[in-house]
Amino acid sequence: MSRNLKDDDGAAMKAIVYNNEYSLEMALADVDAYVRGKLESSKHNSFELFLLNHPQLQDEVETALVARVGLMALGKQQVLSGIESDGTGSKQPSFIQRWFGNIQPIPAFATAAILVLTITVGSVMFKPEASPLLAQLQTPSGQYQTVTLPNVRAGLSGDFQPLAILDKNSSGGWMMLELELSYPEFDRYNIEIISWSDKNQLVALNSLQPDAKDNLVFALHTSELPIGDYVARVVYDSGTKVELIANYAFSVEAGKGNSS
Amino acid sequence: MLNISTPNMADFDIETVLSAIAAGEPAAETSLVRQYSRGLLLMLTQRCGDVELAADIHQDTFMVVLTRLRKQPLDNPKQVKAFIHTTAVNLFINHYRKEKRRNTWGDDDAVDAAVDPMPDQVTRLEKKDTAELVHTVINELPGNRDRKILWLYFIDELEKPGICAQLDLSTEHFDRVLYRAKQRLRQKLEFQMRDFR
Repeated sequence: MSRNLKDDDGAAMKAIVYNNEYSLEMALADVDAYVRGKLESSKHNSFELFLLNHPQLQDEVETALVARVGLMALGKQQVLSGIESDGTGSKQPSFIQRWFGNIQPIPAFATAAILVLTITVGSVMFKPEASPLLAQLQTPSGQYQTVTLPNVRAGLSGDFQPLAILDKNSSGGWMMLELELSYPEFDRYNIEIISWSDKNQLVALNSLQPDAKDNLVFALHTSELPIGDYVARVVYDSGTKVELIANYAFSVEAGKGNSS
Repeated sequence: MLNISTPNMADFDIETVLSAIAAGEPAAETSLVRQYSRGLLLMLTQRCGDVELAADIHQDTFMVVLTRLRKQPLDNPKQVKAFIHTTAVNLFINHYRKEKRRNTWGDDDAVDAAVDPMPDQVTRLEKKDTAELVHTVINELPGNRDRKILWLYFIDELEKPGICAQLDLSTEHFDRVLYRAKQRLRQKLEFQMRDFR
């Protein structure tokens, strides 16, 4: 069967226009723009035509692509902090540290929360990982109710409009929250979970670092949050001044106990 | 052992290769794939942002191209590059139009064997390996500012003048950092390639 340039529906494939005035020298000068997605559309296809079989151009593109993919895989935190690593992750903040930060629950919940977090996290949830990258990328989803709170911020007054509803009866009793930050300005943040009804602070988490996706990720046990409405208040503490970054509203309800 | 470099263009006579493909010579198909495989994989990786998906579309592209060339020669053999490129771009576009793209072109084992990207080409671009390579290079940079240059340039996609203004550095310094980082990466990639051989 002859197969011409047609897709599965038999439609003709889109013809591509090439710029005949575009030269190899121009392509070599445009490598970074191409890899960074900044190359003008009028040059793009002609660049790729040279790329198909020109070894020098391939070397240059490969190097820039490796730089970009590698930087992205490492994540901003690791690149900018310049953390030394021998590949074992020994000097890298552990996944657990990254995930939980330094949790300091308010006294009413302190003992239970610390014990539950430490014992469960240490003995049940995780296997030790040799690679810091694997540790960074590891996502223990599936065992938890994971909720992402988008970058739509709330106030502490007016109508309560939750961004998400968490299930108090989720399996395992754990809730993992991801707070989206649009562009983290700081290395570390503190989070306070505040009851909407009486504005009491129930949980405080200190020194959380944004992950590679610029999210603040942390876990809470359902025993820490009764059914009700809450605001996760993200602040930056410089030591001399506390700056409010964002509030994220969410509710805890008694659901059917399915993890999401 | 596989040679992952693109064969010398001077040794590659496209008209002879296309005639041989039309005559059913598998070696000619391999020759065509080797000539364009690496460039195609890089191009698709840049477009897809995903090496595995790029490898899949790479394979589909050569399946379409070789199946067509076996049955119906091109009017102008010099257009083979554009033919491969057009096919790849359209498959890339179609991938995002349709959920299922694989196994569309039949189960031709001979074509299948000829069109796989060479394993090390894929490995060299995989996240974990590249992260380790980049990690060693950024640790060689003298200061946090130099690391920030790479981040702002490659990930935040700021332009050179903006980065220089933001970090209060000269364009010469910027060029030097970028050049050295890329040189070191290139050296490490070459070293890795020698190891593979």
